[in-house]
Amino acid sequence: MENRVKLLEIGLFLFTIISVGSILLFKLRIDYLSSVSLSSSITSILSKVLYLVPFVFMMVNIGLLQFFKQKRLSSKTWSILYTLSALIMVVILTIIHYQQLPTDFNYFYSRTGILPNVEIFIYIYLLAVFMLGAKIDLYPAIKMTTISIGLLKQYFYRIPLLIFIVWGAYSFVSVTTIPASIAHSGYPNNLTLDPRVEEVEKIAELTPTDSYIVHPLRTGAYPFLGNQVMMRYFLTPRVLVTPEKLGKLLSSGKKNPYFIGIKNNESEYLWPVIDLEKNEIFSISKDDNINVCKFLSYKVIAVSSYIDLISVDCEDIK
Amino acid sequence: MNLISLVLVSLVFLSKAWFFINEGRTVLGIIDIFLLIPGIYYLISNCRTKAKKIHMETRLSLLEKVIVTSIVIVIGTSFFITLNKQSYAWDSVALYDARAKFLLDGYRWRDFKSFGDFDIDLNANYYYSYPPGTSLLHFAIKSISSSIPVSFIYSIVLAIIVYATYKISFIKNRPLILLSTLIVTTSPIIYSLSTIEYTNIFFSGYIMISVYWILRYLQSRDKAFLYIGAAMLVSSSWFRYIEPIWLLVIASAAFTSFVDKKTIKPYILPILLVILDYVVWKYYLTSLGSRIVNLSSSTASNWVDRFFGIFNGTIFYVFRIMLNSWSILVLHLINLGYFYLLLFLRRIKYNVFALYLANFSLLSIAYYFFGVYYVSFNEAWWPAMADSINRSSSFLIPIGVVLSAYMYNSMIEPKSKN
Repeated sequence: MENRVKLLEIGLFLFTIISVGSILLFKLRIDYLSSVSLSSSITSILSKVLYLVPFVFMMVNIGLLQFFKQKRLSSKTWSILYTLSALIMVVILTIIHYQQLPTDFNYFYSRTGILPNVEIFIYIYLLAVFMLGAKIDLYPAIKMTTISIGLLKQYFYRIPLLIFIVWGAYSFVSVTTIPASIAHSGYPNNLTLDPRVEEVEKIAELTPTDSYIVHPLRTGAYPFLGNQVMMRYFLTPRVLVTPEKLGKLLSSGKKNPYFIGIKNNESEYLWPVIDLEKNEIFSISKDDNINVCKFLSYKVIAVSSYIDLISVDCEDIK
Repeated sequence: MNLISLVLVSLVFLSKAWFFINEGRTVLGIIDIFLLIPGIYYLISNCRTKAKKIHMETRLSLLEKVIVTSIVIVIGTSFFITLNKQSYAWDSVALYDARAKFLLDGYRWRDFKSFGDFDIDLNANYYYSYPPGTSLLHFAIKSISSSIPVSFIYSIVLAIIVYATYKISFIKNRPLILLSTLIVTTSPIIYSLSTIEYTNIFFSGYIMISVYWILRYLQSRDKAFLYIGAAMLVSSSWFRYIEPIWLLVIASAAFTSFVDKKTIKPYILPILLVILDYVVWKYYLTSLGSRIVNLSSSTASNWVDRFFGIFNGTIFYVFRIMLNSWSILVLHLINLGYFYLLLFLRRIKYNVFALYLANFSLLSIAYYFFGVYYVSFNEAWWPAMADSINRSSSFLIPIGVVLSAYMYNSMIEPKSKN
């Protein structure tokens, strides 16, 4: 009995040290994650707080251990309780952990080398050591499980019946979405795609077929006008140029492309940036490369209240 | 089914012939078309020797009438939608429809390479990412008349998938078969695929029909059916070739047979045909100089990551995203588990058809899972890939429903001789 209690104490001591260590590790990682702005602050704070819970939990348990030692009560009861609650904690932490990670986690992990949930495995490892040390009797738990499985047995094997019914119900419920799809099918092509299609078709009218058209970068602001493969459907055989490849275009000798100029309500260009004093038009690409075209002259062709075509005569590349 | 298969294979036959002649790659074309010949030969000879009809009670009960009417109505709504619309989903405009348009404008397939010159690098290979099957169909219809709404062919494929589901249901409970057919018709993924112009539904249709022919083979052990199935698979890779599902269809049959009869010999030649088709297409793409998205390029550290990922939990992350995408197919996963468990415990009767369908879906699911897991360490866009898996694996829905109906049936069946 005395030996067991000693082992429990050693186990708890190790558990405490490693938990505190893992909390520190976790904090470091969270800081790193937020410094690269991949996770939201609320979830990271929440998980930080939750990571303190097992620590508090353990302190309480150490107190309880002292209490039980004085009262000479069996350590079996509380160690089972402790194990169960630690398991629940591991489950909760795992869920929280997965929720605050970036979505392309495995890629992120392979690039940064940050292990996803190393603490969880430390917990599980420690738990195993702890249980071995305490020689916890698992027999009642196993007996409980077998009894409950025995009770559920006839239902357990009949679940496929339920699956077929659930699947059927799911499919039949989805019939209700069909009227909505019929209602939407009447829309003309352009409306469902993007309201900009008409403008793009107008661009096709206004430009000669052998022209080069530079469009904005594909971002949230320009989901359609920046999407070259989509625009190509309407604009072939004109050659479309993404801002990143502007330098490549100019160096291949094609010096008078059209730019799709996007205006705001005050008729200022949101894209591209035109510097009339220096006679420069430039676009910034994703990797912050600035493609500059120094032009001799430029001409604006109005397409709509939102879009202009800017025909430029480039002289030089920078 | 004979006639449908013949029409579908000949469609691919003609479009392949046109494509390779138009591209000036006649030798490759002859090799590729030759792979379809055994299947077409057996199909024609199978059409001529009329199969004796299995006598089923022809009169429909009231319940069956109601179910059949609902199936017809649902397919009708799909036709109603597709006859009144043009393409508007992303890839259907930018890829499948666009390629048809370019071909109509007089471009050749090999010209598409120059389109990527001034685009972002990710799009460099966009037009070669899928084989030309779907675009060639669009092209053929549009060159007849530009006013025909192309989308209606997708509704036809929906009808074919529904019919194939009816045909591959091997249980003897007709109301239940019809019910599972209705479930397939109304299942959101299949239905919505019939109303957007993606190549996935064609792929699923061809896969389903080849599953039908392989079930016929497992029933009668007549090699002809295997070759017809192989021809359907060769055709399916004309619509989508990246995932080797076309190989899994026939390989899982070989696997099932191996467990059953310990023979694998008749499968060797059909499998070779299917693989050869893949090799031909891959060779053609490389000879174009297209930069095929190389997912297999990975460093040694990626392999270490993958190995330890099994233990440190990254593997569960992939699983979670895939389950999100699959939604209702989770039931199929549970069902598969039950199928193998109950088979192992001898609580359901051994059935070679059910075992084949289960093996096939198990292998495909495993393929998708480990495929995504593999890529997840290489590419930042892998969650998008995992999200689209419900579309690319849509053939699992009919198969899952058929298997589920089998499980249901074997449980409600009164235990006769036991």
